[in-house]
Amino acid sequence: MKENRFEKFTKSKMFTLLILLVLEVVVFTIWSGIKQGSNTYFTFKALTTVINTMTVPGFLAVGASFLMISGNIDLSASSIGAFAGMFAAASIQYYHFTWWAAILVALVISGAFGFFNAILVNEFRFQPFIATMAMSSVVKGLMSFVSMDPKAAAPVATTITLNPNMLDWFGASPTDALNFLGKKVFFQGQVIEIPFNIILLILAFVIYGVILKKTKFGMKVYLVGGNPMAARLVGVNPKKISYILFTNSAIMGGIAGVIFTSKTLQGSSQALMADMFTGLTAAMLGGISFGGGAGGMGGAFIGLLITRAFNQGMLAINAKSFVTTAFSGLLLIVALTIDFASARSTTARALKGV
Amino acid sequence: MEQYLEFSGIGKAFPGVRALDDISFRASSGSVLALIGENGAGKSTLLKIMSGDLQPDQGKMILNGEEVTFSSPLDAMKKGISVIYQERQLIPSLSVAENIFPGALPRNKFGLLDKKKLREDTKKIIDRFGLSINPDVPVGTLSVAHQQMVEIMKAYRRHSDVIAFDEPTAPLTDTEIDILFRFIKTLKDDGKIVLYVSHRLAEIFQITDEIVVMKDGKFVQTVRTAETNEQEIVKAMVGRDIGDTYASLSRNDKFGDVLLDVKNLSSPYVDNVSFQLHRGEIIGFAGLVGAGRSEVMRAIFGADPVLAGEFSFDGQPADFKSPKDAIDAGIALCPEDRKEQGLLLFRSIKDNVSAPVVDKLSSSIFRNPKLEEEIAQSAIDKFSIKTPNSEKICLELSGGNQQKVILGRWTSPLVDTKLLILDEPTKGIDVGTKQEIYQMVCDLAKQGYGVIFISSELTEVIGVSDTIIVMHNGHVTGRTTRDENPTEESILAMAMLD
Repeated sequence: MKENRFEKFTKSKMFTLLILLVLEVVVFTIWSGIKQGSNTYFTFKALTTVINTMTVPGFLAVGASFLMISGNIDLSASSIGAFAGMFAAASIQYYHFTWWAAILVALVISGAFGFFNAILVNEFRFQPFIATMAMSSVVKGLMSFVSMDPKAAAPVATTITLNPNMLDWFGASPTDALNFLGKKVFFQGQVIEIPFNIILLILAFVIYGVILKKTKFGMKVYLVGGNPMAARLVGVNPKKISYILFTNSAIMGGIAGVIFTSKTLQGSSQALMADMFTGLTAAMLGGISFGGGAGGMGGAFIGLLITRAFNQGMLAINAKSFVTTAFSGLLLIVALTIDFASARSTTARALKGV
Repeated sequence: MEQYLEFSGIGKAFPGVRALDDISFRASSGSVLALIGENGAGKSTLLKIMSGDLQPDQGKMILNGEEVTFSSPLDAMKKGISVIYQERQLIPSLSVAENIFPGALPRNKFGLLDKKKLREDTKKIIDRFGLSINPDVPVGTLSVAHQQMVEIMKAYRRHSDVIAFDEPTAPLTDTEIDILFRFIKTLKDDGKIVLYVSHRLAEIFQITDEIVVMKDGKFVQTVRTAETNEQEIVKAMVGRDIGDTYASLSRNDKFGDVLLDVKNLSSPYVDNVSFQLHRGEIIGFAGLVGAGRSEVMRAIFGADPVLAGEFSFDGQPADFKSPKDAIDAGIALCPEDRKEQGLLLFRSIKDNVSAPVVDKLSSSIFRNPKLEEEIAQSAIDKFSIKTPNSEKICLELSGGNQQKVILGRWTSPLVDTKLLILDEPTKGIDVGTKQEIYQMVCDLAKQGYGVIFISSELTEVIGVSDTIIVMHNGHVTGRTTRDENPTEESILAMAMLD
């Protein structure tokens, strides 16, 4: 029995996710119309907000997706990102680094934190959950230390606010630099500039998607996630994969943090607070299983759109912030339920096949 | 009054499959009834219906004259049915007594746990079965066999009328099997209805009174065990005559030069093991579970450290630091636990076959889907794997086909395997497919592979191997060759030697 490509697509998880996204948009459009008297949701302005708020959790989702497919998890990526953002701000403000040097050093340090996570998990056999949670706390402490002005008589932890000219290279504000790096497109008759960071994010999803599906390394990530013991017995080195992916996840966190700093012109201890949650939810909604071995970057990207569109929807219907928080949690529960249900249906299919 | 459990017209369908179709038979108290059939015959489904895990679509179960239906396993248990699965349902950190009396722990007058009474009650049950287990030790510290005994005592304590066993001897050694059979006899003498599901025919003839044969979800026949023989049963199971499994094998009789030369090898689990394997030779490793056979292989394969001794492979002194080194040299290990260690269950046949050669399939960083498909297809053809295409997820294959995927993986053109180590390759595989696998192993030997064949089924080791090495307690305790016509008794004697 041969299925054509379209039929196959309609049965895929990707298709279900797209339907979910469309449904979400329709519901919020109608809902906001009823509540506000006119549609405040499906608008150009809302779209730009969605895009603008995508990058930070998006990069966390990229790192988390790879780790989760390999059967691991990293809860420290957002803290490492906040540290990287703060470090970049501090090195520019206090030590007068140029922007690219600041970013480079911040990312190298992020990678080192990730490498240390991998040591804890692989050499000391910590549960990844515990190791990265502890790491998260360590990094947050270090971040406050970095934020202190060394020239002050009695240094205290603070938020570093940058001069707008210092770090707008990555930023969302339309500047000359952005005209050069960004892209002009036409939308509803207006010319808009797509910020450089969103281009970076899409590029990251595409590159990592290709790595996962088309390269030998990507296949090994799936093998290790599917069954580490069996992967070892066919000659794959799960440890090596784990080191690479923990380091990668931390660097992705670092990029997210640096982007946060460039967009807000702030090194803040509150940075990326809710974004780890969003990143993980996006990955799981997109079909990346906690158990490892399944899912892909395309799904994770749509998962990310769903979470962002959801947040925007809560704004459009004027929901109280605590309601939004509660519903974000519900969204995660939905994601986990999908994960659980699909795992069960796979097992059921297998039983049927016997 | 005689007690009985009767199945009457039981039917169960899953989407696309009729798992059970009009199954009717009766099991009586004071006798052991074997349920037998190839994989996919519907035994497991029937057990699940008995245990309340599944509900039948048609038909009914009658227990002592009354129709019974079970809404859940707990419900079935309350109504007197216990199914003892291969996977233990015990809590390892709790004591034997606490495991036997879950939910029914005796209380003293303060409402607290009455430890003294608990211990006494447990002791009574243990004595009834003539065992010497301390009721206070945590279940996790007991041997697999004793854990199984605890499971049975749990069922006994619940006063179950019906006790069903699903492949109970799979993890047990021969001495432990004897203890289990004593147990089953005790249950029988107590007037319980005992159902016994197993692939091992010899056991069925040893322990059961009646045999129910199933095939493709249908009931074939009930026979009295005393009035039939193995040939007849196998014929009923597979629907054709299998003949003498081993005599009909087409073997390799030309050996090449020495492929593997092991001298005084010691690892944390084995001591002073020496043997030689030639190209084209099949060496069988016999011994009881835990004798150290798999451990010898793990040391050779670089998965366990070598403490002393040495070995050479393919003329070169070998010292593999990791499985990858061993694979690169040309050794393939097909581990005992197919699902846990062998296969990537949730990946396709294609991914499973190309897994060890993923680096060799292309010279760039990218995969080579065309070659992957080619080698998968050649494995499917070579080992006649039953699948519509190479994209099928291995979880959905039967045990026999899963084993063939592993054989295909290690004999694909790019992997360059010289030595195949097969650890319990026919475990959980039905009779017909077993025969197919024996012939495949012989064919591989003919192609010049050296084969190490580890199995706990003595007939199988004797039937397939050219040379047999017997191990006990981490030592080699005997060797013999096909020419010496070894028997199960002679091998067993070497395996129990101290």
